[in-house]
Amino acid sequence: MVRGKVCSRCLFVVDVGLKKKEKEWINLRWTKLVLLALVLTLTLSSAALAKVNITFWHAMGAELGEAVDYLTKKFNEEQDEIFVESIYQGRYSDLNTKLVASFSAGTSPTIAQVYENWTDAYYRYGVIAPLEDYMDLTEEEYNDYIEVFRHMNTWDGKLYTIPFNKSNWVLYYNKELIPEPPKTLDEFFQIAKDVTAKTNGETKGFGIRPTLELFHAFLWLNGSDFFDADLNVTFDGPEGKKALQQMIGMLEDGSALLIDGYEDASFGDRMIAMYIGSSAGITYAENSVGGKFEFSTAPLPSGVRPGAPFMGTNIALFDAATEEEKAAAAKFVKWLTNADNTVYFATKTGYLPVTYSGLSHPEYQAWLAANPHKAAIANLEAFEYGYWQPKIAAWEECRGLISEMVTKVFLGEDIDLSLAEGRYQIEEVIQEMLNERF
Amino acid sequence: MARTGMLAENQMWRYRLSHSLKRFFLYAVLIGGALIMIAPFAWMLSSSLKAPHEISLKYIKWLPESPQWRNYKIAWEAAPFAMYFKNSFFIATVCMLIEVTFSSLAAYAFAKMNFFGKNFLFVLFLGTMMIPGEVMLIPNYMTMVNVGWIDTYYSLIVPWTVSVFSIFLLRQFFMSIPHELFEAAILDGCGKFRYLITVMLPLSKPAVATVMLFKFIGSWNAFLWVLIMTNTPTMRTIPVGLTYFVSDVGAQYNYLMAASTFAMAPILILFLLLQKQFIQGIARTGLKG
Repeated sequence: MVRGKVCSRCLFVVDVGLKKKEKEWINLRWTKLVLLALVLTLTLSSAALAKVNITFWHAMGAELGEAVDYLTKKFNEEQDEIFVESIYQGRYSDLNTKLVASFSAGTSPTIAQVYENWTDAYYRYGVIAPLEDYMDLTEEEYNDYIEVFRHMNTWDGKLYTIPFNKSNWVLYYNKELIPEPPKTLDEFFQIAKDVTAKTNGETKGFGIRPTLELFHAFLWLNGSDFFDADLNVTFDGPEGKKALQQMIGMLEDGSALLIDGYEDASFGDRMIAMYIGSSAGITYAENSVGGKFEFSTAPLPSGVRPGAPFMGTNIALFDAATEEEKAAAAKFVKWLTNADNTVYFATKTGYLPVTYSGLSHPEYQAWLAANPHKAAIANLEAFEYGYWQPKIAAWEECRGLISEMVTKVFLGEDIDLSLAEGRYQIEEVIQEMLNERF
Repeated sequence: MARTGMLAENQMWRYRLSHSLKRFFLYAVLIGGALIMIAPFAWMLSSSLKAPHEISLKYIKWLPESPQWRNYKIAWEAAPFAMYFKNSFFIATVCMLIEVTFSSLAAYAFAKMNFFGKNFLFVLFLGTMMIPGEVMLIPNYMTMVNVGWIDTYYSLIVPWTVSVFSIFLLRQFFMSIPHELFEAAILDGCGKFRYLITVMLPLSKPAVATVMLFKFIGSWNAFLWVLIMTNTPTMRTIPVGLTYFVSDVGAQYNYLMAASTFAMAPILILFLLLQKQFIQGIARTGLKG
């Protein structure tokens, strides 16, 4: 364009005293030049415009990371408008630290894997943008995301984040010792005792790792949860007490073994016949068992109500991105969770497909049929009884406090006292959050 | 005569018995301690050669059924370890050299020179040791962003080239070198800087070796800082690679142990090379716990 201007000025200067033919020639050249310049600028700028670069921070190492990288690469090759760079940022806690640091420094990525409680904190800081607004979801597409996951990802009535690597917690059991998995909690306690008796205590019925997740499972199955809808503490009620008593009781009557570390190792060594763990850990269980015996998975036994805990992370879009980047990121996320890709990711990693169309995909069904011990993972009923950890910003802190409380109980502290202390501490944290001291 | 001779023999015998008993207990304690210290390493080595189902058993199995040498190959290929090694070596070596230069200069000034506010400055230096690193993580990150050093070697090296601990360690050691030596050297026309290079540092080999080893190990093991400061795999170091084997639902211990074995090998070699000086350094500066 600049050259065009200079030329027109030259033309004006040299215009005087030129023959018509020469003038015509110059005119022609001038038009050509302008055209050329125009074409050049257009191609150059469109080349720059063509690729929108977006970054995707994740915490998927080793094989999980390979699956993410494979999908990202496939997306980059399939179209030429968007380039996605997927970056491994360590474990989840490292990823969270890095994200928080990036908000203050203004270096946040376009999208990242996030837990629901991080989302709530980021939402309160005002650093995330609602993905749904950029995704142009038809009603059908919106409803295709599994309902439990939609609940977990909704803020302000919108899908702020999109489910990505979701897992559920299931009962792992040794099929050699337990041909039929327990359906109810009562059956479960009985089977645990029977197995212990049958093996003379060589194999304990159940493995207890005093984690928050296990406490949550017993709490839920007894009909309660950590909080009610208005964030009032409810875990210290009679149900919470019963949950802890049941767990401690199993240790006292010898039908359970207290475990420190991942349960799959003790399970593989026949020290325990059952444990409750994440479906995403099934490959670890396969490795630990190493073909020594047959094992399978089942939904959690029902207490006063059934329950299926769902976990795992979602993808969030950060507000610091430009509108163009946001639109590009939304396209990528939509592509990443389409039936084919969610199924690819699920079969490679053991996470769940995030859509109904993914669940019913013939490829996924074939994979389940070929791996009958994984059937409980995608048990459709479970999706109706789904529950999840509170999606509040203060959860990270509460988690730590409640875990501490559970550990104390297992170390012998009085249950009532621990629950009362836990309640007091959690109420304080929740109050702080509501006062927006975050 | 005979009586006294017998007595002496008796005493001698008693002395010998108590002496060998003492030795026996001393060696028993030392061997016991050595076994306790070496057990984790032995476990690491044996686990690195196990199949996954042999790792966490009720009773520790010290020898794998059939050694899985391919664990090392799988672990090596799980992350770009060749690149991580190159980076770790480069960063640790450069950090170590720069730090030892700065620390010996600062320690020399604190130990042998007199200037206004020396003690105040020294206490101020020590005061910074009380601030936990986690607190400074985000402010330091923002500084690095503003300087434009994110994802460069600068951010991995420059902030770590000054260590108050090393200055303190070297200063204590320098102070133990007699002041008369300094005066004699100055009288003979030796400059202050030359004195540091030709007298002080050679005399302080143990302390210098300690500082170097501490820095190298610290730099080699640094994880969170590296992860926060970098975005591209080409800038990262070995500890980042080790996280690949651990997830929130399980760990691949056999690969993790294989990777840990090759990750710590260079440190072990460095320690063996500097061992003599290192132990002297700890013993003579009174840092022995």
